[in-house]
Amino acid sequence: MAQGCDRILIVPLYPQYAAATTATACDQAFRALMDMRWQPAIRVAPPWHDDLGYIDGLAASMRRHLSRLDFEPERIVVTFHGMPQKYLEQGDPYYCQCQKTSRLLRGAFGWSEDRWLTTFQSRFGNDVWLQPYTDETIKRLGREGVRRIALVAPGFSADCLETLEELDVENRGYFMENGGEKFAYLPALNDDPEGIAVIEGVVRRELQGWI
Amino acid sequence: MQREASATFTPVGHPAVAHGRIGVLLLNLGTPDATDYWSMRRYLKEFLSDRRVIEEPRWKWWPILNLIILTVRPGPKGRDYEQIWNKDRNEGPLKTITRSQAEKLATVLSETRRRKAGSTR
Repeated sequence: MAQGCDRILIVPLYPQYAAATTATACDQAFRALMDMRWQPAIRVAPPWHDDLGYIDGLAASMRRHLSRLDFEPERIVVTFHGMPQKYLEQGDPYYCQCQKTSRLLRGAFGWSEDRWLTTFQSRFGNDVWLQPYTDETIKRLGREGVRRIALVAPGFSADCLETLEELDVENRGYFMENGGEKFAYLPALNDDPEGIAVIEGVVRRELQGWI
Repeated sequence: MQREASATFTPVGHPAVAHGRIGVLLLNLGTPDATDYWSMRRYLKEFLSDRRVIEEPRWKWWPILNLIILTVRPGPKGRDYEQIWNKDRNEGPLKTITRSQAEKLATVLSETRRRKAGSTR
C-alpha cells in the first residue's frame, strides 16, 4: 500500500488448499486490511493442484533431478504434509487435491500404480492423521525388499525443515535401517526455472482484467 | 503548476497520493528467526496457537502446549533447524528460497511490462 498499490493479488504458495495453510495465510493478510482506511481491492489466487502448468513443471523438475542420480528408483513416493483425519471429514478439500496432484503426476510419468505411492508426513500427537503415513511406508518398503526409492513432496513450494531434514535425513535413515540401499529426495520446485514458471503462470492468469 | 495539475486530473494544491499500481503478494508460513531455545519457543508458540492449525478446544490445548510442548520441543527442534540453517544469511532456507522466488518473479513480470510498453510506442 505504501508503494501505491490499490489492487493486490494474494498468492498463498500452497498448490493444495488447506485451512491450516492457505486460510491462515489469508487470515493474516485480511487482518492487516482491517486497520486501513483506504483498502486495496483484493484478489486471492485459487489453489493450482491440478493446473497442467504445475503438473508439467513438477514432472520436468523431477526428470531433471532423476537423470542426475546414479540409480533408477523402483518406487516413487509422493509425500504431502499430513493433517488430522477429522479435518478431512469436516470438509477440508486438502486430501482430495493431494490425491489429484499425485494421480496427474503419475499420468505425466506414465508409471503404473504399483510403483507410485501417495503418503502423508509430519504427524504429531495421538490423533489419526491422513494415511498412509510416509515414515511407516518407507520402513515397510525397506522390509519388503525394495532397495531404491525416490521421494518427492509437491505440496511444498519451497524446501524447508519438513523436506530437508524430515525427509532427506530422518526418512532416509528409516529406509537404510530397514534394508534400503539407494534413497533420493527430489528437491521442491523452489526458485528453479520450473518453479518460477509455475508461479508466473498462476499470477498472469489471476491478474487478467487488471492488466 | 496549473497545467501540471490539470494534466493529472487533480485539483490545484492536491497532495501527492501514491496509487494506481498493482501488487502481487506471495505468502508462505513458518520459519523461526533463529535456532536457539527462545526463538524456537516463540516460533512454535505462534504456529501452534493458530486455531486453524490446532482445532482442539483451547481449555484442552492450552496445558498441552504450554506445559509440555513448549518445554520439551524447542531444544530438539532447534537442533533439527541447525542442520539445514542458511548460515551465510542467518535464516531458515524457506525464507531464502521464498525471497528468491519473489525477486525472480518480479524480474520476469517487469521484463514483460517493459516489452509491452516498448511495443506500443
